[in-house]
Amino acid sequence: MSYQDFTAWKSQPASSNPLLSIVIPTYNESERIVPTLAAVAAYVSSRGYDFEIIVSDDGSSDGTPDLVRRLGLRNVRVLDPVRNRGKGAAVRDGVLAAVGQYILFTDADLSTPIEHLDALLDEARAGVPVVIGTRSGDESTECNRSLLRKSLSALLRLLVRFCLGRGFTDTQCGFKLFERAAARRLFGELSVDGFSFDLELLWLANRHGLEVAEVPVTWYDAPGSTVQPFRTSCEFVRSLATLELRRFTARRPSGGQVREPAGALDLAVVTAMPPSKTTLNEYGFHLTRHLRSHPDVSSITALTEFGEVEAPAGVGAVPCWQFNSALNPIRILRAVRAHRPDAVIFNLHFTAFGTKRIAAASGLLTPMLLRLAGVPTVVLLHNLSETVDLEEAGYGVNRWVNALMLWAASMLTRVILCADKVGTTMPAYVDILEQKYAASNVFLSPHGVFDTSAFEGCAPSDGVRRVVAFGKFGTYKRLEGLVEAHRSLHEDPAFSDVELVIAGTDSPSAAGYIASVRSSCTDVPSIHFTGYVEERDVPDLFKSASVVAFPYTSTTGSSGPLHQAGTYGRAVVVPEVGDFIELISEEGFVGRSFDPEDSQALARALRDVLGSEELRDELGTANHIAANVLPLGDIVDWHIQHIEELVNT
Amino acid sequence: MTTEATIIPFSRRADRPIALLPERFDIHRIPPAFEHEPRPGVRVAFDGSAVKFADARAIQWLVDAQKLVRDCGAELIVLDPSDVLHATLEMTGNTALLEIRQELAAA
Repeated sequence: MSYQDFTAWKSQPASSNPLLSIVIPTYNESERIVPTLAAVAAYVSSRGYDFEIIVSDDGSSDGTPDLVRRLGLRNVRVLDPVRNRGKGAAVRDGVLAAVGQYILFTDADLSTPIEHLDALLDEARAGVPVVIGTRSGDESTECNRSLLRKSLSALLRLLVRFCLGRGFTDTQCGFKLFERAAARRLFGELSVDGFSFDLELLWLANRHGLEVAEVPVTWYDAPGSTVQPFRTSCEFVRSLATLELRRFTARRPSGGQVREPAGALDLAVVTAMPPSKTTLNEYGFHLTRHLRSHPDVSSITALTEFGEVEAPAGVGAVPCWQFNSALNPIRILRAVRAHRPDAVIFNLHFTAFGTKRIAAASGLLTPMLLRLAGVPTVVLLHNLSETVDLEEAGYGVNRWVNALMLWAASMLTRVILCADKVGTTMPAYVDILEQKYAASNVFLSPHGVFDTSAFEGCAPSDGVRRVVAFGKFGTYKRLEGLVEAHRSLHEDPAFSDVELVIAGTDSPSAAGYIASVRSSCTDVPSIHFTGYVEERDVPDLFKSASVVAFPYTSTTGSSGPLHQAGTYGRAVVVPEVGDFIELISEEGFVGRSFDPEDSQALARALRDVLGSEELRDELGTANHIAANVLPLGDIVDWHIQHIEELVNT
Repeated sequence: MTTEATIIPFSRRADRPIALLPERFDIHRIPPAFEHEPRPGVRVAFDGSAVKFADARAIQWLVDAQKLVRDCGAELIVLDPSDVLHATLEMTGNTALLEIRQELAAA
């Protein structure tokens, strides 16, 4: 063979079924691609092989694709996407476009000399579907490689051995040959777009039981490499973790995956559930209830806290995590692995998994981990650190610790945003996530009312004027002001008949609070403490109210009790704090407002409402209308649309 | 595989020094070839038969070397290029490295 073979190859088309396709991924390789093409083409021509070259660009900005086209080489194809996606995506495109019986991909800097092709091809022709170059065998050579890169490589190899359970000596060498059918199978499922795609290829080969042969090669550390060792190593470790998670959850890879059709969704919801002491349990109860009745859903599994669970009919409750435990991510991953839902919904706020910082933070990693494991993940996030006053919410320590906590919370917000989609209850929250965090996967998910209810009037059927406060108290929901306001009302003979009902329990981070309030107000008449209210008794509680009071000094998101008050047509008195004012204006609720620092202001607001049946009716009717505009059943329909979009992508 | 060039200083064979390019020609592994200024009339040749890959910087090094030699009134060419080097010089538009100028050939 001679130089004439090269000149012939340049101008005469290869056959439609060539022996070999050589894929060269490029990104800003205008300096290097021409010598590389020359070396590859001249060498492979000299071997007498029928072959094509595919230059698969990754959105270069230096004109690499045009440069290659201008060479006018007959058997070189250029794939030129519109944007940069990563080396893995470029190689995938090239391999899937290749028509050769064997497909090689090699780096654009030709770090592995093309002369090693023959050794790989010999293995492939002997029936090995995947043949990879390795830089760590006894017969391999590494030239010019820095100590840093050698050390990182050794470390990563060790990790691969540990995690993949198979001793590939080198996963990252950019010189790999595939038999065509194996290539189509593996690259058809490849989901990693970045530098670590090789790792996924080998993982997939393992999963499909494909034999992989390693061939020692020489490797030159080319000057001007675009690979950044630390960044690439971090990406590598992240990909390794992802594959480990996939193995853990034993899910099919996402690329090319055929999903269940709409109408048969098996969903899991990670949530607190009554009678949990944690917040959002009522929301979790009604969310799962509405999801269960949706026509596109075939089953709902509630992944709840350990302990007694009051789940809606038809919802399978699987207690699998523990409040204030740092191990919840592992527990939830195991549960998801066991139940294999099509998607997982998280009903979350920042202390959903605990009030201890480590436990709370580790639990919030779970949506990201599940997404990395290939499970479609939607988070319904009920609060944001940006809108919480730590002091008022009971988490404040001092200025410096608070600043550190807010920084950590912003990091956790970024972690939560790693879920496929994140829904928040307030339009302002969507703005914050989009503007501060540049999030593009956020949607508005209003709280909604748990049930629509026929309007039955605005007054209790027993005719008693009754103030009801409902919730988990002790942090930013404070009862002292309400008790003082009630005392003040009773000093006025016109309101001495008014009852105050305090329904609910202590906040998880304020154990004993209600007992202390109760012991401090034994001299105040007509106060009733109900303790925990079972879900089935909640409607009667609200219907027994003349007015529902919200003695909050701060808020951390939308308000379930406000929506429940609206459901049953009740008047409300609400504090003049940010989220409440916004919620009222956004969703059409109305109420008498008061300064949360002033118990007499609360007393005046209660007096206004209790003293005027006309005002009570006006507020209650308006709230009933506002609440029934957005029933949770309709909002669940939005969630299902988001999930189906994810699942069917 | 040879990784270092064998450089024959100009002074040793005044009329026809030869530098053997390494199999995988990479300028970063070649020490400076021009230990002495080439004199007018000297012909400098690189034996390119063993070259298996010449990257862009290596080609540029050859181009710069040729210019330097020519500026001194001498001549530099690549002799017996490998197929790879030949293809690389051709595709990068540097075929002048393969040709002795007519006037020098005649002299």
